[in-house]
Amino acid sequence: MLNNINIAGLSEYANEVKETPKEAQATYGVELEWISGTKSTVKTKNMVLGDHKLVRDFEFTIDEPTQLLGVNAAPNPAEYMLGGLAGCMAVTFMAGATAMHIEIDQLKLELDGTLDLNGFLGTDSNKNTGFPELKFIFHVKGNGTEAQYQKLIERVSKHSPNFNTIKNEVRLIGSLNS
Amino acid sequence: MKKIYQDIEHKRAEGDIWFKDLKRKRDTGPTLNDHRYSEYNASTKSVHAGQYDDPKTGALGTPIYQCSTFYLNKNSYEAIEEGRGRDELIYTRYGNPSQWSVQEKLSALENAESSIVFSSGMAAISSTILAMLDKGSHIISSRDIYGGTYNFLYEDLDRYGMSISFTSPSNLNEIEAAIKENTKVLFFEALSNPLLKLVPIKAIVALGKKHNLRVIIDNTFLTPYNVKPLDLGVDLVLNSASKYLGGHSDLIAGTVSGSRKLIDRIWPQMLKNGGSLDPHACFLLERSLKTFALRMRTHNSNAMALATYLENHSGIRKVYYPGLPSHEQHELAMEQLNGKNSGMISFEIEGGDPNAHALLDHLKLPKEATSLGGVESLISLPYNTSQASLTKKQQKAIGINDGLVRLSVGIEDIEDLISDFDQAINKVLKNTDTYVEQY
Repeated sequence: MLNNINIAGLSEYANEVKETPKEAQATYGVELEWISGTKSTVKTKNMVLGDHKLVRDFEFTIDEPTQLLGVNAAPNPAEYMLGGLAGCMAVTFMAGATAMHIEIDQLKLELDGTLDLNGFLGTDSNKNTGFPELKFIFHVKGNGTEAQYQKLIERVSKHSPNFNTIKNEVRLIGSLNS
Repeated sequence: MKKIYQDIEHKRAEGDIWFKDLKRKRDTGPTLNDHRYSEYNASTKSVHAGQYDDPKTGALGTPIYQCSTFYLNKNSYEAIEEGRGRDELIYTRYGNPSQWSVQEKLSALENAESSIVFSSGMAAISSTILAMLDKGSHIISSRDIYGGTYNFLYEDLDRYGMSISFTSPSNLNEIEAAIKENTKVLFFEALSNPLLKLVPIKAIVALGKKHNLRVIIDNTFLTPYNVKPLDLGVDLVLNSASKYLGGHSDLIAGTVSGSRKLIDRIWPQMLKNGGSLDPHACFLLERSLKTFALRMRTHNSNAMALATYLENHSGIRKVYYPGLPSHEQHELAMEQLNGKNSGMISFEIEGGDPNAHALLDHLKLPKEATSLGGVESLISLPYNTSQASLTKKQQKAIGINDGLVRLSVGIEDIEDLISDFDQAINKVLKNTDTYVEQY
């Protein structure tokens, strides 16, 4: 299989969704439990795809560097967010490259941003608490042309779910159980 | 079936393409035929569906494609690259016309979009379950399932990070209570061994839908002739083809049938586990299936007549047969099996296991052997075969009483079978005292 991606399966899934739109509905969730200090454990909740349950039996730890009061046991939330964004962009890029019949020998993706912690600390209420901008660089080696890769990056910005979650406004609906 | 890039090759070259543009949809098969015989009845399907006459010689019937590999060409290379190898002939573990032929006949009989044949029923069961479960998944099944399946679920699943709960196959409250957050699949046998309990298929399917689960039914004891689980909403149906589908006690094979989507997911698991069916065995199975409906009619009618005879015999304490009004799920059987019932009977003889052994000795026609579904009647005692791993107390707890006999009724003349049982039972009961001492 080109790039070890089953493009026939992707074609079948896309056509299934055209006929049965519900098959495109993917429900995700995570459950975080604070452990100690800045350390937490995140468990993935089961997904529901269409009408069927997908068991997602995974967990990971989150921490902060010692300089930010943690014990540096695991990546921190900002890194997980950037990793989740990069992972989604990479999958979208690779599936798109395969559909375009481009063999990719190497894909590396760098994502960088600077946070102003004044927002977090509340020391300057005029500062944006989140990342004001994120820069990404695709490092690509393969048999495609520069123009094709540019086209793919455009496609990523249009079709990657995590990219669009960060780019667009998301309703965040909170509640409290205590 | 449309190719992935049919009529959009130029868009692909220009990079003006996305997943919505791709053309390939799932289709039935794989197949080399145009005609699926889906509009016909069981006997016609048994005879005609999936037959690949040889175009080169005009030979009638599917040749035995006894080869391990196939010439590669542009199509096969393209299929490998695009991940659609199941529809091309590349290597026999991946697919072979002898497999496709019998798979097509099975799909017609099961009303399925697609089927896979395996080198045994257990290969079908293990590959299907592994393909359908995710890491960390939980499955629910019943304690009285076939021993081989039980061993796989009980002994091997935890190695894959999966788990199992065993419940009653028919008590819906008990099944629902066993459903956990990580439950993915409900796996039951349509008719249980050896007490011939029916699974209420429609109710199990409704329970599966309520909890977003998949339902898999092992239909070995009933076969698609007696009930088509896929028509009742089940996701996948399995058979040990070594039993009624093969029908002659001369081959080992297994099957799974369902939607093309799910069968396509099982196929790569079969490739990894390696349980593909040899072309020669495919030929035997396809040939046997031509008389499948014919055989099943006789199995069913012989079993009904013999069960009625046994129930009326004073030397028989209890008969388990879904076609008899005395069966505790007779009403469900009437609805689910449309009066076709089963070729299997279990019964308890007066005098317990010693008399059961004596009966097997005195019978002239049924062969004392494990397995079922052959043209010849096969008879065995569950306590020292299928349920031998349980203590007497455990056997009693699941209803395996003293003197229980399991009978797979063959297609012999019913008069001969009844007369054989008559002479054997009468001999046993006449000699009860002396026989008891021997055991």
